[in-house]
Amino acid sequence: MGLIKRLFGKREPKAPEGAGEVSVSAVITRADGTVEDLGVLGSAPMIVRPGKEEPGGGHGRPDE
Amino acid sequence: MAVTVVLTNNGEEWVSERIAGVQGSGSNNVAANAGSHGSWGTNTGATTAAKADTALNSESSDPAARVATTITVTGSGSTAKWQATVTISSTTTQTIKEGGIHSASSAGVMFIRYTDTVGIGLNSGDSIAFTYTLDPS
Repeated sequence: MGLIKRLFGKREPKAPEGAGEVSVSAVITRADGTVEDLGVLGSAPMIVRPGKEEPGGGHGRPDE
Repeated sequence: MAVTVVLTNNGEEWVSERIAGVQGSGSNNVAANAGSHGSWGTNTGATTAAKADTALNSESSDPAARVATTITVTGSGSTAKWQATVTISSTTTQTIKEGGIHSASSAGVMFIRYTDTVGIGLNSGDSIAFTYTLDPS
């Protein structure tokens, strides 16, 4: 066993905080025909490991 | 964070039931046609989407009814994903700050909800094509 492991013990693998992904994207078409592709508005894990915070955000649009 | 999106608890139940090929029962009866309709709203309560949500905060009355979605499964193997696309048009001036996917044109069960603190400003004649994606990987 290496010095680091002897000093700090074996590291436990970190459990994932969620599984899968849910996302929403949007494309606006204005009355005059102009198209605005907003891309992915936001995404989050589909299923969150118990004890973790509510999913949502992290990849969303910044506040304007 | 501006945008929050969740697969609701009812949505998780629906995913589990679809894998098993069964339909739920009781208050969370999740029909096979889940995700058949899309909605949007103004979220006047400024709420943030949460797993326990069962409805939008302020579902818009414009349009008067939810709009039917097109459901597809795209990709294969590790790229396979479920997608619901829905285009909703506005006949008034409004700011869209939330949206959802439901099992019916009214009432029913909500599977996905998003909220947006900024919102999307619309005028009469504008429309938004939403794509909701569930990617298991």
